[in-house]
Parts: sequence; C-alpha cells; structure tokens
Amino acid sequence: MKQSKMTLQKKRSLVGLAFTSPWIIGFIFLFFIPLIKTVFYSFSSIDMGNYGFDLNWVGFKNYRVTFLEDPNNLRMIISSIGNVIVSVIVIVVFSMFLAIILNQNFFGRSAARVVFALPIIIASGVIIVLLKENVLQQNMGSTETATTIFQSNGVLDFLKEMGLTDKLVYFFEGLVNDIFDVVWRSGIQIILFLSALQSIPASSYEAAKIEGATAWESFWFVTFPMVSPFLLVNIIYTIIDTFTNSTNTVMQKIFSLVSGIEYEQAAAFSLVYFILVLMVVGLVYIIMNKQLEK
Amino acid sequence: MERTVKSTLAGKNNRPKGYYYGKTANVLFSVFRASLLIGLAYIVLYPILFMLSTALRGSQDYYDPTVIWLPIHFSLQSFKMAIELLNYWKTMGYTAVISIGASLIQALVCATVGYGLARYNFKGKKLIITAVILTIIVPAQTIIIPLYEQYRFFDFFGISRLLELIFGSNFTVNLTNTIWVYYLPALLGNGLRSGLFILVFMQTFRGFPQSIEEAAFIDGCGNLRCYFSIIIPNAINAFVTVFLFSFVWHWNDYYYSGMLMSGNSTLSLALRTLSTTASGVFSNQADPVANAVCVQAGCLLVILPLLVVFFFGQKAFVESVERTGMVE
Repeated sequence: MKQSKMTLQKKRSLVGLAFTSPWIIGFIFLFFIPLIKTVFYSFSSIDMGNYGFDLNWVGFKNYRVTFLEDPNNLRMIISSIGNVIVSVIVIVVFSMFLAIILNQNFFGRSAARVVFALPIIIASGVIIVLLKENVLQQNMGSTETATTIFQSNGVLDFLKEMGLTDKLVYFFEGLVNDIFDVVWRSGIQIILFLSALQSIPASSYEAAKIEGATAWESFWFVTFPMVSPFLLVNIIYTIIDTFTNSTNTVMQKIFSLVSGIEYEQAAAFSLVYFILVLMVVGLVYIIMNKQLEK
Repeated sequence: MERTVKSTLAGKNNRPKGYYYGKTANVLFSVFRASLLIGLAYIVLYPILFMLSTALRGSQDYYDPTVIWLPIHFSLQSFKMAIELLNYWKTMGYTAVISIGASLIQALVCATVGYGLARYNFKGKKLIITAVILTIIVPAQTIIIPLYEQYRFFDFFGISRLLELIFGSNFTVNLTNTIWVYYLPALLGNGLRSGLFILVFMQTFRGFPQSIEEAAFIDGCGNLRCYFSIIIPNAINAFVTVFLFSFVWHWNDYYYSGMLMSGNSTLSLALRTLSTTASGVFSNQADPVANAVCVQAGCLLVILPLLVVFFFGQKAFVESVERTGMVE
C-alpha cells in the first residue's frame, strides 16, 4: 500500500521527467560539457594527450591574440551584425511578399509552391557551394570578374539616369546582385508565411470589405496582425540561419582556425561570436514580443 | 458575386465608371504576377538546369560557343565517371543508412521529449525549454572541437576511466568515423537541429485535446501505452514532416560529418572532394572542363534521391508545416 501514497501530481511529474530523460542525458553529454570545455579551451593552450587534450591555463592570452593583435577579426564580427540586419529584413519582406502572391488563386499555383520550396532540400547542402564556385570560375575566364551568379548592369545606369543618388543605386545593386541568395534562403520562411495566410478565415476579409476597407487597409489591419506571430518565428529563424550559415565569413574564419589546429583561438572566437548572436536574438525577441502584445 | 449583381441590376450599358479600369488593372496585375513568378522560378531552377545541361554534354560540346542550354551531342559519359569516382552505390547505401536510421530515431525521440514537455508539469520544465532553445541558437562551430574530443575518446560519464583504474589499460572507444556519430545524438535527442524538432512536437501535442488521454486513462491505459497507441498515431503528420526534414538535413550535412567522419564516407563529403579526385584522373588529359562537367554530374547524382523523396513527399513538405503549428 506504500506506493499509493505518492500523489498523482508527483507521479505525473516523475513520468514527465522519464519522457524527457533521454534529452537531459544528451544535453549534458553532447552539449553542456562541450560548451564548458570550449570556455576552458579559450583560456588555455592545448596539447594532445591520452584522454583528449591537456590544458595549460594562459588567462586571456587567446582573446588578446584573436581580437587585439589581428584587427580584422573584430571588424569581421562587427560587420557581420550589419550584414545580418540587412539580410533578415530583405529575406523576411521578400518571403512575405512572395507568400502573399502564392496564396492568391491563379493557374499553376501548386507547381509554383513546389518550385519555391525546392531550395529547402538543396540549399542546406554542399551543392550550392560547389555551384557558386563553378559559375564563378566560368566567369573568371571572361574579362569581367563576377562575384555573384546574377548580375545587373543595365538597371544601374537606368537608375542613375532617373536621378537617384549613388548610395541608393549601390544599395539597389547589392540587393539585385544578391537576389539569388535571397530566393535560395527564403524557402522555409515562405512556407511558414503561407501557412499563416491560409489560417486567416475568409470571413475577416469579407467583413473588412463590407466596412469599405481598401486592399491596402485590409493588408495592414487584417493580414498583418494575423501573420505577426509567424513574423517573430521567421525573423528569429532567419537571424539564426544567417549567423550560423557556413558561407558566412565569420563561420569560414572559425572553420579555417579549426583546420589549422588553432583550437584555442577558434574557441575564443566562436564564444565571443555566440554571445553576440545570443544578445541579438534576445534583443529582437524582447522588442518584437512587446510590439506584439500591444 | 458583386460584379454579377451590378451588371444584372444596371445593365451592360450602365456599368459604373471604375469597371473597365478595374478589369484592366486585374489583367495587368496577372501579367505582372506571372512574369515575377516565372523570373523568380528561373532563379530557383537555374542551378538544376545548369547542372543538367552541363552534365549531359559530350566532349565535342565543351568548347562549342553555340551550345548554351541544349547540348548537341548528348552523352552519359560524365555520369559514368562520377559514379565511378564517387563510388556511388556503396557511398549512397552508407549515406542512406545514416540518414534514414538517424532521422527515424530522431523523430521518435524528439516526439517523446516533446510529449513530456507538452503534457506533464515538473520542476525545471521551463529551464529545460530554455535549454532546448539554447541548443538551436548556439552554432555548431562553438562546440565542435570538444564534441570531436568526446567522440574520439568516448567515455560515457567516466565508465572507461573507472575500468582503467581497475584493469590498468585504456578503455576509451573511438567513435569517430562510425555510424554512432549520427545515431548516438539522435538517440539522446541532441542530433542535427533536434531542438527545432522538439519544439515542433511540443506545439503539436499542446494542440491535442486533453480528453483523448483522459478517456484512455479511465479505460486503464498506462502512460506509455497511451503514448504509443493513442498519441503517436494521431501525430502522424508531424512525424512525416520531421522525418522528411531530418532526412534531408542529414543527407546534406557536410560540416558535422566533415569534422567527425573521415575521407569520403558520405555522399556530401565525397562530392566536396570530387573535383580533387577527378583532377587526379583527368591530369593526363589536361582538360579542366571535363573535370567541371564531372562535378556537375556528381551534384546531380547526389541530389537525385532527395528530388525523388521531395516529389513524393511534397505535400508533406509544403502543407504539413501548417498542421504542426509552430506558432504559440
């Protein structure tokens, strides 16, 4: 009879723990211990030993070497924030725009949806890296050296003719030249926005129409509020995806440090970078959440 | 609706002023939409078309400037070469074992953890959810070196060290370059992007009505039996989505496997070094283009299984994200 003295609540909490236990073990073993070790590495110099690495404490030397003796690294990290902000805005706006178009009724809609979901299965792999290398190599042979797959030369002159300032023209040039990356990195975002749009009941649009709302107003007062929870998810997903993208310059730097067996510096570098990512994500989350609660 | 009412009421000749304007605008908008979508679809399909067009060329077409998209001399030579150099069938088999096995285990374990977090209340649950989100945010690069060490000198919570104290020889196991590099983290719910999948399952199970389980409990169903025979069959959509995404990400992964696997054991790794491998073979012929063409054929061969999976499972990809309801 002793067993039955355990309250139902206590029993259920034990069962819940049992369900989560594989993850807890995995978290400690495959995430938490490695993370703590990385912190130790960043303060040590490393020698290969019998059970792994032998560490010698060196204080802040690795951080000093990484960030003070090589000014490029600090600049690289700071400029990565700017890049992330720009590309998150571009990707989120683009994917919302495209999702709205794909949500309309037209001939070949389902085929179009399949095409725009294609990047999900290809873009995460090595193929896109190889493809860029190959196309760039091809263009290298010609007199012009290309940096991106699609180029816009005629448009620029046209924009200048229209009397736009040089800075604005270069901004557009960057956007247009990056169209390949933008489309290829919006796959999941488009699908998420699409599912958000489909969850809006048609009756809300009818009501707005009866009240005399224009298409513009019904976008801002019906579509946008209904989509905004997905907006938060999408923004945070895009931030993380952009920060941890392996084509990112910081990621490539860390990769090259690791393959050069400079583990200590790689650890210091990636820790600083990770804290930065955490700060950006946290900041965006807090700001967006407050905005959504209004 | 509105338009038919108007036209029947007012007659054809008395149409409101904005009618023709609205019709023209509609047609113009359709043209605009079509051209936009075709343009963007071209960007998405471009790499695949490019690979296909390049890989199918015979060697006569390599330097022919008139060949832009459609080759004149079709040839499967480059595919044969790529299959040989990639050791395609064997490597694909191994990659398939890794991807299918790991993603099945991952889907099941993540569902179990997600269910525990969604339905039961216990101390530290909030902490666990925060930690799950943390595992998504931390880039793999931050912990990859200690993780390598963890697999290279595998020692589960000091058991090997303990054995060594008793028996006096080194008992650590080298897990790198084995299938366990993928299976073990999947089994412990910390594999590739597991955090994301746990959140997906958590949201799915939160959306389930509690009454199904209550009915089962009243009928004398235990916690485990309830989970396996009632919850899992009802969450089959979420399972398919998670399995497919996990499969694709395992198949494509080359960062993680580049660190923990050696040589050309998976397709992604073999593809990464294909150009080097091929240049060794083609060096006597001294034709750089043949090398590039061979790489394009290799790319196609690697994504071919993914494309097949994608076209059969595209409904699950495109539509079921909505059902899993990633939003709180």
